[in-house]
Amino acid sequence: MAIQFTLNGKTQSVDVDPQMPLLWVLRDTLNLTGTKFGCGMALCGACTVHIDGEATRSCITSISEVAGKKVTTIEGLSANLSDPVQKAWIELDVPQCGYCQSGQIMSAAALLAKKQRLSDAEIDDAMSGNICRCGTYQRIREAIHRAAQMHAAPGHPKASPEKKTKKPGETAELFPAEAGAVEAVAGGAE
Amino acid sequence: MSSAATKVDRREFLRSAAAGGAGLVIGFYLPGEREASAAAAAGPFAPNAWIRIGTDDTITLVIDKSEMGQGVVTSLAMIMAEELGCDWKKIHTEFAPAAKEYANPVFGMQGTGGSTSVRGSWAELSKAGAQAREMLIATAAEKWGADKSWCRAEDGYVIHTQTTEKLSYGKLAEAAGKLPVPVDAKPKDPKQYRIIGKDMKRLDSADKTCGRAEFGIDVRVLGMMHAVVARCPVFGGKAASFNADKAKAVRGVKNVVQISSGVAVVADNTWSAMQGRDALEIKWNEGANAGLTSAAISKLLADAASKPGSAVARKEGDAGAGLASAAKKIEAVYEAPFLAHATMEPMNCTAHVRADGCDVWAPTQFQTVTRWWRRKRPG
Repeated sequence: MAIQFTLNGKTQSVDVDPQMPLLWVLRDTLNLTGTKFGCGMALCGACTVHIDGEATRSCITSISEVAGKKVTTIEGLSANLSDPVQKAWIELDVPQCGYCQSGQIMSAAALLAKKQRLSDAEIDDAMSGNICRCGTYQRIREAIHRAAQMHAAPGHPKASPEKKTKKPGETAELFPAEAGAVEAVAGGAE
Repeated sequence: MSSAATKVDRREFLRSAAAGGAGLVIGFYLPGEREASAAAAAGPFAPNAWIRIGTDDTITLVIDKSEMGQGVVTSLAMIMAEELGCDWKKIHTEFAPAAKEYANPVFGMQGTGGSTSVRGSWAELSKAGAQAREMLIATAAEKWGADKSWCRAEDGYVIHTQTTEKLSYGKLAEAAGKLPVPVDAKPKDPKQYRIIGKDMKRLDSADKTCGRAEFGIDVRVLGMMHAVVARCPVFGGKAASFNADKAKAVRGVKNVVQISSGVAVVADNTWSAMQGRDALEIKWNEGANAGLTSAAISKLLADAASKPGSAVARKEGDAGAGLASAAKKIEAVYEAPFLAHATMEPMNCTAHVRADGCDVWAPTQFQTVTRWWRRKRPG
């Protein structure tokens, strides 16, 4: 039986095993390979997509759970790399090997859609489920601060009043916040 | 690198070709065992080249090392772009196929590792760029009836320094491709560098920011199947017997086959293959390593190291005499555990087997070794 959902703004219908994780529907059925397979157990974050705006691990989300919902993948985040997160990522040359970066970017975009004034600790907390084997964490944090500035800039279509919602997420911190140092880094990103 | 001391007149040459609007194709072969690859120039691994300039001004730089996040796409492109004199923002890069002419000069085979990419490729890529630049300048000079010394190459143009006329590389490409290749082309004086030594933007950031970068695991061939392998939990073990009935009943599973490293489940998508693997019933013959423990491995290494002379990595002076007369002696044993490489991209490989050959795509650091394995084990 076909399952319908919205994928990157368009209606999509797939006839697959309802148990099949969204990740494999994207990668193998629909050939959208920007979303990556890392662990298959929601431990690495490489498969992160947005489902109704929430950052979600597609490797453990069955396609049946997605029926009727809105899915956004890295390919659909923006046209022409125009999302502030993507702009900041390129400006600061965040990716190295790049394998985890689709997931990092989707997590960061979901975070910034809810809140733009972020402390280092909040960024670290929200991003702790996305691991990077190259160790780009410092630039990721810097780029999120930079993207937040772009969000807040007048005229940006995504500039919006800050919402109070805090992302419920993992609590472990990848690295301790170094408040003073990071303020300087964020400032230096201009 | 040994090439400097070798005669270059006979063996070193550039191949130029102007084919189907592709314009200037430049590559060269170094002496020694890679001479044989000249024959491959016309073979299936063409273009055998590092630099291609299209008549539409596109400049393609071929990267013959594996990009693993170390930035080699950018650093090797910097070497070539510096010598070629092209606009950094208009460069295209593509990865080289497995071919002898792309052998790492340090290893003698195509491979990426040991921090050899820039120091190993420096000379040959500088020269490839310089040769292309000189051929473009010679072409422009001839068109203008000018002396070559009046011309300089910059940002994708040859500029006539007296008249300030300029011609784009694309406009010069076809004619430049017909010129003989200058074997003694001189790389720039470092004082003239405009790219090397500067903090250039990475060429691959945009592709890695929108999901467009293609990793080994992303290769798609029309109608391809996906397979996963159930492997023995012990190195060297083999499947003694297995029952695939339940695996074959999984939706999407097409076949189950025993291979040397285990039992492979083939399906029309990865997830079905994984479900099929979980449903396999396998009896393993764990083989000679069945009882192996970490303690046993440590003992094996310690025994080997204690044999006289077996583990001397470096010998200088008289350590024995020095130790015998030392006032204070410190004895310690250091052990390093086995550490998996642990890439985030799971090991994978795509093969397209046809009647006339086989294409293999793999995230690998050693392209020609991979090809050798493929030939050795066609099964």
